[in-house]
Amino acid sequence: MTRIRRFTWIGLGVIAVANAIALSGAAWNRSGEPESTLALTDRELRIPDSNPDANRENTGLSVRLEWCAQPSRLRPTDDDLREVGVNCYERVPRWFDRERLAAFGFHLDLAPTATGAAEYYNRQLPRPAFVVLELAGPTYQSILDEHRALSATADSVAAAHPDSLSRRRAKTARERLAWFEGQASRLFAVDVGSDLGDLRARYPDRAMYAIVRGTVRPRIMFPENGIVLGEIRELEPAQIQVPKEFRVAFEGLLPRSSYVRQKGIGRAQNREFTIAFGKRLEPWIAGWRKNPD
Amino acid sequence: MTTPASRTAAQERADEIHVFQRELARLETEGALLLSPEQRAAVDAHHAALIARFGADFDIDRDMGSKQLSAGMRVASLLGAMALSASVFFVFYQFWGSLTTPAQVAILAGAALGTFALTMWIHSRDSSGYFTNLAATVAFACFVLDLSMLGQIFNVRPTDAALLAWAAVAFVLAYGCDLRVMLMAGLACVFAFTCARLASWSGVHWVSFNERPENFFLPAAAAFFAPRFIDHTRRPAFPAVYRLFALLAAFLTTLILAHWGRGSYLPFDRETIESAYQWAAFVGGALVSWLGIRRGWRECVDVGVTFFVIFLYSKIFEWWWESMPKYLFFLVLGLTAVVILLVLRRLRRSVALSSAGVPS
Repeated sequence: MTRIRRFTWIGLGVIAVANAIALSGAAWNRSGEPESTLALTDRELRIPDSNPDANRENTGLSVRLEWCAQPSRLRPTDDDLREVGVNCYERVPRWFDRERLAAFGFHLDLAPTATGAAEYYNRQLPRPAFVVLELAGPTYQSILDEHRALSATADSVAAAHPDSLSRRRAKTARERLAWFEGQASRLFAVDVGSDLGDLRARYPDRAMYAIVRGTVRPRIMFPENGIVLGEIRELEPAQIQVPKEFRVAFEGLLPRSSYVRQKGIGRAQNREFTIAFGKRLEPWIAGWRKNPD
Repeated sequence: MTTPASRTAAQERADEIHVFQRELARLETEGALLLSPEQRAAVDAHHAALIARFGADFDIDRDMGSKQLSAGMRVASLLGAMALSASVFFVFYQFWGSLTTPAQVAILAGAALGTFALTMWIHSRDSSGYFTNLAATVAFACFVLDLSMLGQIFNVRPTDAALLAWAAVAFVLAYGCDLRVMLMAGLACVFAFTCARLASWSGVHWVSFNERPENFFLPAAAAFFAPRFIDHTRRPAFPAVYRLFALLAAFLTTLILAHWGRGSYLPFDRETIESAYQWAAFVGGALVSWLGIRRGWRECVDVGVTFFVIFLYSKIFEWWWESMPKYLFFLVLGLTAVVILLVLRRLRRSVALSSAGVPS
């Protein structure tokens, strides 16, 4: 066999084997029963701004999981409650404590109030983790209840002292409650761990709890109090591709930037998407339907 | 008559023949050497036959005019390869939304396989190498697109294993078609894979490997010494590429850490780390230059001297930019350059003397 022919077969073999491995891995992920299945609406599935309308060079369509976490402040203030569910940028949840961080092998021996502590903790590189996402569960319900209480309190104050400031605050609280009830994501990160089996044993409901891969790292919050919490940096994969056969389900949905969401533009279209997570915890869109509600 | 192993070797031989012919003419003019007409005719005929054969087999540059045109062809080939590769990416992104998943998979795999096969076919017919270079770059781009897009289509978690596959194809193209650009692409993928693995073995997420530049030292050392263990008789230009890539990776890493000590694994304060790497850069630059002179490795001398000067200038800037008047600062820089020139000239003289067997 000539040299050229030998190199040709070697190269073609490498390409074929690489494709076979990639495709068989994807097939194995989707084989059998999914690890979990969530019924999400466009409240939890966000179209990134860089999509067909914004970028004509890419006709692919993908969505991101819009997930939230409870604020890291130990005593939530009015501002924190208003922020939760509005932009879902919180990534340092209050429950991600030192004990959970230590399980990942992070170095936590330096006191947070010591000199150089901020650099010591912020230098540590992120580590892979399993993240538990809860859909319309106790966490969402508790925050909804807090919003309702906030709105009721604001209404009472406005009734007792009907000045313009009180009336304005009551109106804002009502709008935010309405937004949280009808527009905000119901998907919350509620736990992290390094052992998939252990997490699934603690959260067995596979229709409410999805376990996905992500990365975490320590962060110093409130250095004056010496608090170190964990940050959930990102989930993997960051986006879910929409196959051609499901694109019709996303018609009419606008890219949901924080501005769009805050202004209530592009109201939820009452469509429900079945997102399955496979053996490798990689998601795919398994189906969709119009939500009769 | 031995056949050169590659186009590079054939071009080197042709260049040496031209130099010999010019020097022979000068010697004859100066009366230092006179060949008989029969000897001269035999030598000329032999050289003419060699150059004709090399031209037919390897499409070498037969004269200075051809060389200059070849330089232009190399630039055109490189730019064309980059443009076509970008076009491949954008073409797929433009149309993939309207394709079903099976069609996407078929096009991606088919494009990678087809362009690779086409590259090898072109290589069997292209003695110049420029069209092969262009086709190989497109084939590599297609394979990168192939695995990247499969990952996106099936929502696969990012993995460093793709780097290994890309490296393998790049090396096949490099050694199969004698392409230094593909060798560099393969080395880049191997470097990235090695660093990613080192990061993940330490418990860190592999994507963050670039936040610890010291990960690059190990693959740089391996690449520098790799030519000692691989036979490159057929590819005489490749060892220089290995060394050049290794040195660039090592010195760029040192340069980064000399200004960003926070990115180091070392458990010391930032100033100590940065100072240590700055001194390491000076010493390393000098050592590499010395090694390059001893071994005749021009790329080592070039990289060593370049980075030595870069580090020296950056230290001078750090010490005196704020405290000195600007005219004095640039005067110091200029005088430093003069000192470097004097030192290098002395070094060159001593190398020339030692090559001639004269004690320096």
